[in-house]
Amino acid sequence: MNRPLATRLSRLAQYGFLGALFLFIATPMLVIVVFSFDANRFPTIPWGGFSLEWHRAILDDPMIRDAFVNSVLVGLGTAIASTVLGFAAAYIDFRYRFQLKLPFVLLVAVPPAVPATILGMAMLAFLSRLGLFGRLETIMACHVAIATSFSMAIIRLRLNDLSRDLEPAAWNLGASPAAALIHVVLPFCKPALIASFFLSAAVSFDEFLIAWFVGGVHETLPVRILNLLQGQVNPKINAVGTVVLVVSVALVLLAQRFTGVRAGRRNPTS
Amino acid sequence: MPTPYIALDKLDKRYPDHHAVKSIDLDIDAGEFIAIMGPSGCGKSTTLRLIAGLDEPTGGEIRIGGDSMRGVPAFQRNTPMVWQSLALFPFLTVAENVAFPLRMQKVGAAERRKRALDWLDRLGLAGMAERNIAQLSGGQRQRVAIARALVTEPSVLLLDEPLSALDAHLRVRMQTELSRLHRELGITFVYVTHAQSEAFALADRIVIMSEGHIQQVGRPQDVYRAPANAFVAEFMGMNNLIRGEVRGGADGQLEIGSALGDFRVPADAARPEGSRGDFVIAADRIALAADIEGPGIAGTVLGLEFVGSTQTVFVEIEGGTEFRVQKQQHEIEALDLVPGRRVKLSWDSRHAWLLPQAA
Repeated sequence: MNRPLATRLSRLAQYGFLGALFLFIATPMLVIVVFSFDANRFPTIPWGGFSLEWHRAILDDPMIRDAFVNSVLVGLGTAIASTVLGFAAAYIDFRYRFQLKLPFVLLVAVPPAVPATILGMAMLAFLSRLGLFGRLETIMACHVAIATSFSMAIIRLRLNDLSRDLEPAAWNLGASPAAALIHVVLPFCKPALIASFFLSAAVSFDEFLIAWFVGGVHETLPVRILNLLQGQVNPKINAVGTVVLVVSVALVLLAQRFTGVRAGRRNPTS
Repeated sequence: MPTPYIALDKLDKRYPDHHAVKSIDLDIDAGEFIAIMGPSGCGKSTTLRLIAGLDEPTGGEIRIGGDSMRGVPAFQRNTPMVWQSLALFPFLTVAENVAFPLRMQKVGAAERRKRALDWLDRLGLAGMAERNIAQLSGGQRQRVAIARALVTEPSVLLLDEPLSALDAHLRVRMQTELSRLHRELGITFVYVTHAQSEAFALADRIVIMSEGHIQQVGRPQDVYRAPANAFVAEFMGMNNLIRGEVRGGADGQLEIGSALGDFRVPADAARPEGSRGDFVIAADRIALAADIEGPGIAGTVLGLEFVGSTQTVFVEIEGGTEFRVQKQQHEIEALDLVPGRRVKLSWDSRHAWLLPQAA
């Protein structure tokens, strides 16, 4: 095949641009990963040789271990709570018509749009009055407020594909409204529920500012990283960063796997 | 007189913006195949949903097997329905779909699988049990929906335009299938459709609805030959309506004067002179003659239309009225009917049907 030169050049330019863009986004992360395995104490070129020293060091650091456990607990709790709440909100929006529906949907959707600093400060002021300041549950509650709006969006999108006849058909075949919910609506939403679970976990795992405001002595992993940075330059940071990166990417990939964006896999329900 | 199995008593349904069903009364016998027909928006599907309990009536009552359904939720009625959209569960296999109602009744797994497979077998779907719904053809999905509705062995089956999504040849096959099932099961079928051919082919009795009212209830041949009013006559399609007034009467016949001339029709009762005397003459009761001089009304052939073994001839009468005449192919050839040809229409006055006077 002999394409005209202009076409080939244009092709090349397109791929080149795409590659450059990708590098621009990925390089900082790649640098962290690469230097986390560097034997040098300070991330400098030339590379000092491969070493697992810093990864071993973070395993030996009890504060990093605690922060990791905290992050996992908060992430799990957030994932469960916001998926349940997100499903409830999406289902209410799907099934019922009522007067204050718009304010209701806005209320669920708006938290991620509020600047995190303001949200964090507001939460701090509010929760400390309630005497809930500085607990893991507090961080979790704040993360749920943000993640629920993502959960609702994902699940609501899936419910759009649920034929309006399917639930009444289940009632007609002897399923009580509760049984129809369990045996028809939930199984139909399963991919979206799983996606929502992983995405909420990722949102929580990455969130820094609010966790820093309301966590008190309880540090999540991102908060621990900041505190490490505020001390002297510590080679452990790259290793922690790598762990956070791997976990976050894994969670988002899992979420994508279940959002049903794959082509050619739509169920003919209507 | 046996008590009706399903009784609708002044049943009424009003939506905020629409009065769908206007205080209808209807008795359906056990084991009957009844078809509810009418143009879209006439209230036929709403009536079906009310029977199933998927909508709350705003007035009147439904009794099934003598019991009032007031306050009985849909899932406790055992009035399974075959949906126009089929409403199969896409995340379940064919066998799981059919077994769904049994699962809701807490029937054990082995038992419900056996019964589901039996029904699949009965509807010619043996070997399809483990397939996904998406892997089935339209006709196969239709059968799954029917099997799922019948698996609990209900005493009534509701069908909401079940065949409208199928190709013409499949529709005819499914009609035969439904007819067979009705005969074998002996249960009550309530069948909503807008297709006259389906209603006529299947039903023991036909209910014609329009704008929330029942216009007529009767056997197919009665609805066809003896429509209760002008709406039914025109809805049936193959009737020609002539509006006129009573001029007199003798020997069990009435003299009707109309814009097209004077006609005699069989009298249903004594009617005063000058009262309304609208009558219909069925398209297949009209004779056509090439001889313009004879008795009858003259017209011009507008066009022809195939309907299976017969053809419909459209004839325009002076004054713009259009008549439909149904004729066999050979008759059309014998008369050499082509658009523009002049013909004479006539009929035996005994075949005219005088519309009953409005109550």
